[in-house]
Amino acid sequence: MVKSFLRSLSLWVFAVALALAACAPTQEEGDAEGGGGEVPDEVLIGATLPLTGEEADPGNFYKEGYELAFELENEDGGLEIGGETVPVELKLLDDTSDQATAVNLAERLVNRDQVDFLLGTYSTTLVEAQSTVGEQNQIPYVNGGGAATAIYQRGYKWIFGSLAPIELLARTQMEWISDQQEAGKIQDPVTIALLWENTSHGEDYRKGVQDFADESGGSFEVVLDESFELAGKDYSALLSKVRSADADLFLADAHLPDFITMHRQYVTAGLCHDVITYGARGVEKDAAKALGQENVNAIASAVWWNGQLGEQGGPNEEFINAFKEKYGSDPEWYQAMGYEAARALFHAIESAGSVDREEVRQALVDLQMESIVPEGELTFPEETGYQAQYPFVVQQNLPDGSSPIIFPEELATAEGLAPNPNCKS
Amino acid sequence: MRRLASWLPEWASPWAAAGFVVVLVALYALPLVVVLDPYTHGILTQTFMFVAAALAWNWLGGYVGQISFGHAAMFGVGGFVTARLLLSTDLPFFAAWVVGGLVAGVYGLLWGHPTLRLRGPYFAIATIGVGEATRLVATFWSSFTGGSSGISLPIPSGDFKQALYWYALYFMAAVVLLSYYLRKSRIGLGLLAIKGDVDAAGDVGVSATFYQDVVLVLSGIVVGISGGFYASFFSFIEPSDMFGFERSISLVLMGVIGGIGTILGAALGAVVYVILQENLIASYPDLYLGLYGLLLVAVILFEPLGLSGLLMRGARLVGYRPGAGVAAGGIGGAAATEATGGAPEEEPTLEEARP
Repeated sequence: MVKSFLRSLSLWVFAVALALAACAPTQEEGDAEGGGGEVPDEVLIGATLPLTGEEADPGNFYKEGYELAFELENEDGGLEIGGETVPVELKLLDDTSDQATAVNLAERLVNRDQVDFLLGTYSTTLVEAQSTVGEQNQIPYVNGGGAATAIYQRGYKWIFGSLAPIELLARTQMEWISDQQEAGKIQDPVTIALLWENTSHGEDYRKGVQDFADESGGSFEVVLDESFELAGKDYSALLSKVRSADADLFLADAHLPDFITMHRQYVTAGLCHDVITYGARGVEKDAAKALGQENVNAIASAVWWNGQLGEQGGPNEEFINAFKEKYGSDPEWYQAMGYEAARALFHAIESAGSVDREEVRQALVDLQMESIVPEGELTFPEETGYQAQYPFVVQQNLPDGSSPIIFPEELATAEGLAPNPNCKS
Repeated sequence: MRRLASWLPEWASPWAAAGFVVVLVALYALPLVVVLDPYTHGILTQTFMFVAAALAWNWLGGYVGQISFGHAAMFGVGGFVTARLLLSTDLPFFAAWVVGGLVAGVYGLLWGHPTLRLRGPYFAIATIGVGEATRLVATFWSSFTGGSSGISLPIPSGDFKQALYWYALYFMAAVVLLSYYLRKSRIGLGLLAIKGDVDAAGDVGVSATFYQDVVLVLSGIVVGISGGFYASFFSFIEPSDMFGFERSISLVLMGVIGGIGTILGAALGAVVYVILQENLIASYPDLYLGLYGLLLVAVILFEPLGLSGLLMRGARLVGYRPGAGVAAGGIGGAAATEATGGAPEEEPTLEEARP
């Protein structure tokens, strides 16, 4: 019996040792006290991102944006608070693309690690869940990864979003298509196959397309209107419906992994439409690698930022140069919006001149920051629940591998391909 | 102790009752005498809730021996019914939890009545199917669950979140008492008989269908209330978290790590699970489920009675002979007997367990 007991005991000693090892901090621990009005030794900002799981690719893009913003700020000496410069540190955890984990880790950052402020995670569904922690704990939560209006229509006071709404994204795409109709490139009227992810993000996209179609006086007709589950693996049934609908345009709203999976099956099924879009997705380098350049050509996407905005100089040029220097590649909108969310929070802390949560919140409400977003200024209007509002740019994949801005006209760097030339062949 | 015994039902152990009251009073007073930071406060609250859910799972998995991988279905139903009630009616939150729990119990009966005729792995496989089917329906029932985005509840005040600690404690205490009652009562004997040999139980007049249905409904109610509590605690729920397979597996893990079939085991399993999760999830987010898997394999191989089995071995070394009621369960009767060195006193018989 003693032998048996010792055998079991050794097992449980191993388990306890494992647990203790897990308790040991493996990431940098900060000790800044949040919520005070005095000048701290350091400002500690907490964030989670989906560094693994379904949203790992965009999550790691956002990480690059966050880290660049922190590095540049600290290179300048840090945040200017009360006449002193204070270093700012990021405590970043991996929420594994899971909503419950994102919520738990945010609670941990606020109540155990005592961070001063929170930066948001990426993707609407994760932000929607995690933002409740910011509101519950009354701590400023600035995110560049949640775009659905549902996040900002809950009457929350502590949540600020730097992504303009998805409804506007859909409307911008429809305006571009409408322009192509007027130019005689796309027939009028046209029929639409509309697919949207079963989230508030997808619902916003659907509403944007549907409202525009309803207002168009018959120029657009939605002949297929279907939702799909996030992180799906098989879209063949859905794409069969798309084939049966025989629509002219294929408008879908999907996150990056779903876009890649769905479009692979779309290509395999031999489908082709005059306009193909997956909402904000389509120009990612990972997608071209996964699907082949020839299969992503002509996909149009409306996004919050494009690297060609750097040609206008100002903060865009500064961001792009710094990004290239640090990472040796061109940034996409993911990195840009992560960077800009962090910068907005820094700006507000400096404007408040304190790490007092209420003062920083008020500074975010009053924020008017020169920005890298298309209109050049970032604000968080109260009437939209503190969600930023600015125009989108439509970009399109060209056969030479570039993805120029094709709409709006005043920002366009190339002419778009419409109708999709691949269908003719 | 004799005086205490005279106040108790004849099947209740005065030592167990005294221990229960001491622990309850200590946990009640803890936040009043020690300043707990909100994080620790929240972890304790969640632990109480998961102890209750693990005990409820244990009624089916431990007492009847029907391992369910589908309890997330009831957890989710309870959570979403509660959330919808809180959003659309003026029901007090505790009433919403109870209604959510009752609906979850009825839902459990709907799928449990036919599937509980299956035994062993067949029942386990059926519950996986039930859990996944429920998750898919919930994901696409956007008007009720909010789809993949889930639904947000109004943000409660800090005081309410503090108060949830005591609500969770009362809830856990009630479930512990119910577990003890179930274990010791005529129903408990029936369940033991069914676990031992369902055909023989039928021969002596124990209706397996009735007893299992009763236990599943009770289990569903408690797990459903836990789901409602979870919704109130986090102010946000979504289908893949509430109905996900990970949620079901977490209840199984709590039971197995602590020791299936025992009250102490399920409670200890929940405590260890929450503590491990809270610490591993931040440090090793990729590995924590894998580590649970390793722990599960290790328990099955070396200590089928889990933590409670280890405690009993230790107690026996110092001369304590645990009663049959303390040592019920194990993942499998044969495995448990073998792992405990063939000690027959660890496997309760109907005679030993009879009050």
